[in-house]
Amino acid sequence: MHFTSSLRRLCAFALLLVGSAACERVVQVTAPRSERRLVVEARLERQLGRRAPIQRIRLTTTQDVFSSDSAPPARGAVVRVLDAAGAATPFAESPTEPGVYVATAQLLLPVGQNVTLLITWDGDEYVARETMLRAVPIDSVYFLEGGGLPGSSAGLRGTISFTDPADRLNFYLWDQWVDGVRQLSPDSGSFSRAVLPDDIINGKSVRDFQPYRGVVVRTGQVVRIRQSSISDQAYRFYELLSEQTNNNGSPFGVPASSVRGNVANISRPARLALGYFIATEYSELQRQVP
Amino acid sequence: MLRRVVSLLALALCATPILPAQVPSATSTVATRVGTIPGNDAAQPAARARLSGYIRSSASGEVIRRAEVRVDDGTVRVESNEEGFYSLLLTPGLRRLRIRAIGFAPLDTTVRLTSSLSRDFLLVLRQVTLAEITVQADASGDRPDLDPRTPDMSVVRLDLQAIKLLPTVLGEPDPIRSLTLLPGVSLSSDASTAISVRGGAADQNLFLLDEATVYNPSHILGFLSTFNADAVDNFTLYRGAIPARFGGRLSSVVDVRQREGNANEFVGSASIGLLASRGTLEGPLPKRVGSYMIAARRSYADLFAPLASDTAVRDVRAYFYDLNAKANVRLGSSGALLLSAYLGRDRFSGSSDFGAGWGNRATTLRWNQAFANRLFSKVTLASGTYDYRLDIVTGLRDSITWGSQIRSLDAKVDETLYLSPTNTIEFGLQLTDQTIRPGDLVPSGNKTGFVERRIEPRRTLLPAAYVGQEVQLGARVALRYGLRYAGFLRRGVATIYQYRDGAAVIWNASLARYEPGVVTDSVPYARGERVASAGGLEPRISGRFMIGETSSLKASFARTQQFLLLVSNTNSVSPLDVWEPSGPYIDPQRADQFALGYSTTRGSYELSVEGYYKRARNVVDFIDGSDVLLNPRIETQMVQGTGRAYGLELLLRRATGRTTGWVSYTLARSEQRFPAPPRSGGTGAGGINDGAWYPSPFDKTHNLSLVVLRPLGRKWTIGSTFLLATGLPTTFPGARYTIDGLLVTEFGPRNGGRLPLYHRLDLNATRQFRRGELQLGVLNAYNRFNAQALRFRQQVNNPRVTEAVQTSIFGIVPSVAYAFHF
Repeated sequence: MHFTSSLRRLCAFALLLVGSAACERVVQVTAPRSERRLVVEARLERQLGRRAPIQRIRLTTTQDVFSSDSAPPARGAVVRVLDAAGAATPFAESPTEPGVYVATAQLLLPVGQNVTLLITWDGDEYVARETMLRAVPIDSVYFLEGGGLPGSSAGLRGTISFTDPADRLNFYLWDQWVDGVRQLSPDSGSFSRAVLPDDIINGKSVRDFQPYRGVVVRTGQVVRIRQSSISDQAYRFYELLSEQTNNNGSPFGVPASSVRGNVANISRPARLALGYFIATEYSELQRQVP
Repeated sequence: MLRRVVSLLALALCATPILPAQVPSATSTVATRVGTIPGNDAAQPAARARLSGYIRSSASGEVIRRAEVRVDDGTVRVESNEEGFYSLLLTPGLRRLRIRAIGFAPLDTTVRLTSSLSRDFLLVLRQVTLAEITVQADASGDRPDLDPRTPDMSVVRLDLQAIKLLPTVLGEPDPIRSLTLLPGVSLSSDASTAISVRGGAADQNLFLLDEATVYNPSHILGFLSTFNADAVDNFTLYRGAIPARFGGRLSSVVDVRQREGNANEFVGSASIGLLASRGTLEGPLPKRVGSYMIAARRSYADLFAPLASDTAVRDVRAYFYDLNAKANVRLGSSGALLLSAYLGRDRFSGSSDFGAGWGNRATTLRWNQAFANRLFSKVTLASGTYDYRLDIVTGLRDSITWGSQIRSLDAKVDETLYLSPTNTIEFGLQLTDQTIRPGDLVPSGNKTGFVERRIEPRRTLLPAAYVGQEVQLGARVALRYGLRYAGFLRRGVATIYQYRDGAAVIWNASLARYEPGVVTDSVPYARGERVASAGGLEPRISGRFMIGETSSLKASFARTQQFLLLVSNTNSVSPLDVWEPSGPYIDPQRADQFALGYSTTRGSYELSVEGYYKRARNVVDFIDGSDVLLNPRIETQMVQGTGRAYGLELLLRRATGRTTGWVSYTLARSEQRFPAPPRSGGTGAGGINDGAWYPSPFDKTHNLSLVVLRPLGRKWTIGSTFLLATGLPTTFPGARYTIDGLLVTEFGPRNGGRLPLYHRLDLNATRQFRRGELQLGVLNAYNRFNAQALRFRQQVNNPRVTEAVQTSIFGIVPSVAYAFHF
């Protein structure tokens, strides 16, 4: 992500150098209507050293590009999660939150176990598989200035340290809450997700790492950082997601492309589902900004 | 020793009758009149005498490339080659010569030929108004640029004096941007000088600067090309019938030659523009053994940055520079030793957190020698390098350095044997040693703990040999044909990964996506060990058939191969792109191109119409979301497929009169398809756009350029260009959905839509002074919003709403520049 940021900055300064102000404008575009598809937001999580909570899965559908409505819920689905032994845990649709399906029993989610998501909706069967990966513990959360980092402004940032295990292939996903509010921004140019591949930090002791360096925190705020171990395919999904949402239309942006997840439609493969299914163990620490 | 070998080779070849069976009886009349018969040179050697030498500028002594020499009634004609050398075989006696070259006054002279003679001819630069510099043909039969009499086809030679009168970007004349005003050549973005030739990708064009490869010919991330118009005197684009001596790219060759410098006197010039300043010094070498030329250019926006109120701008240091130099030492009357060098660099740094630099280096040492007045020999050693380096702060006390480089060393021997004015043979050998460092990531500090990563260098050898002939068969037919063998050898040290089922990329049909292949093993290769090899013959042929005195039909075929690709998955070529050679999982790209054309001159008008069809195998596209930076298994991020391009090109030029200029129009289609191949685990279905043909990123259906030059009084010249083109392909959305509260776009077929129509008017006015010129210009005169990209984003104030946003590069951009000569 540093490299993408660097390229974006280079482009901005190239425009500055030639004195040409690249400009943009909002236009009306007619987008073709497409077939409605299932969208899956399924993230089975368990905190390191704790029992898993009751899991929730959200199912919605695609909508017209320029719709101003909320995502339509996918109602009436049959949702189950199978453990490695094939034991099924049904999920029931919430009576108060349409499209949200809640586990009817507690999932154990042991590390290393394969889990399978099965969904039946609108006449089609969907399936996705993942493996629970062991979390890498956060050693500490603290706060440091973000000055000196590309594109940063003055102010404190949530900062962590951890040690990557050399003998495991694990990819990282970070979430951050400030005073209970999850840090996700629709702004182009900010990172919608902080992810990192294993190979560039494999076996290293990582210090002073700021996964949400675009977010300045103030004294008194409570910052919670969650570090999840995710699979290679989950990492690719979030990378693609970031790439698309960060695309600023510059000549050095990547061409538009759809984000593909890991949920297959086994009834009609061409009508594939969007979204993801992830099973992860995470480490989480929180601290108040001094 | 080499000289002796070449002489022996020349004698051996000259003693061999060429095409004896093709001597048509009708040409004997011509032979009697002018002393030549195609192919019978060896049969009657005693009756001929050879006249050879160089065509030079009288003002500077520099050679004049591609000048035309006609004998007597004009039936016999030759061109000086790219080094200014000509050779004629004539019947002894008093011979009248008419010599024509673009930008020079015609020279009519006589030579009494009693025996073989070496003679240079000096042409005088036109001493006329600026507007008339662009005159390329006049009623007295001056040299037309679109010459219907040559078998040349799909060739464009820029008049570098003329392009200085055309509108520029901030006062910097740019030969590559000028090329795009001609048929078959287009830009993929206003922000880039990466050209597409006949629908080909940007990496399918070979840029040669005095025979050395320039891998990324751009400054400022592509806004401006590296070629300083003051330092070069030849800019030739071969977009179709590429001569057999060139190879290595599918679509085109751009052959650029640096000026040799004034051999008569010390002169100089300087210019100041809004973007950069340029200076040139040139003169004779001591004892007048030759000449030299030194040119420099530097941008200076960074010098004004400290005056900015915005601190982000104030800390910026961003500039580019380039240096061109050439020395030419004459070796007697028929030889020369040339040393040519180029160094160009872009530098950029922010406050203290970021620094970047990239650029090209090119060096050439060449020995030109004419043997026995008939064999012109060139022995060349050249090197070309492109590299970049980034220094990025990654933590409070940490940083990384990231660098990449491609470097090639070339050794070439090119021979041209002038058997007669109507029969020329070319042959040569070439060897290129190429090393690519795709990327080294070296962290410093030890807090954030980035792991050092060095992507293994790629080493290749590229041998090539060619032979070709240009022959005139009677008065109507001329042929140029040749055969080139191009080989490729990738060598160790290397680690080649093995993938399950041999598939580096897998099409996952159930998830409708490409995925990297599953690594099963890796095989180390020792230093020099063969990793992969390829090669093949490349036939090239072009010919013309005269229809009357001033019109001809032309046809050509060319096969080309490319063993190198640019790993670029961004909208436009970026300085951080890296090159990747063919290998076990990346097959060489191959293309066949057919073209048919008509060329004519009528008075002051020249017309060229060409139709072409090109098909290419193993062209490359990148998978959705490809991760190409610092990836040791880059073969897992790309797919190979087939491409096709076809079109009709029209160029109508008015070469004389007060108003000159041209209309260029291209009607074209460029498509590609990438079905999931069986080895990637697919069954034929799937792949990008389900394996169907779709427009390539460079596809422009209509592309029109109108260029007008007109003097205004005695001192002013107005130059204007108007561009009108179909918008480039883009990918439109089909739906949207929500993930974690973020709106995500689900796109429709790749390149299934179009950006809006592109049109732009640029104006330029040049005022001539006794020792200089003042230029005033405006780009995009009526401030057209030309969309270069279309994207979809979530509204900040209303996150539930998606909006479409277009980006344009140029608003109205005024420019001023002043050049003076001393």
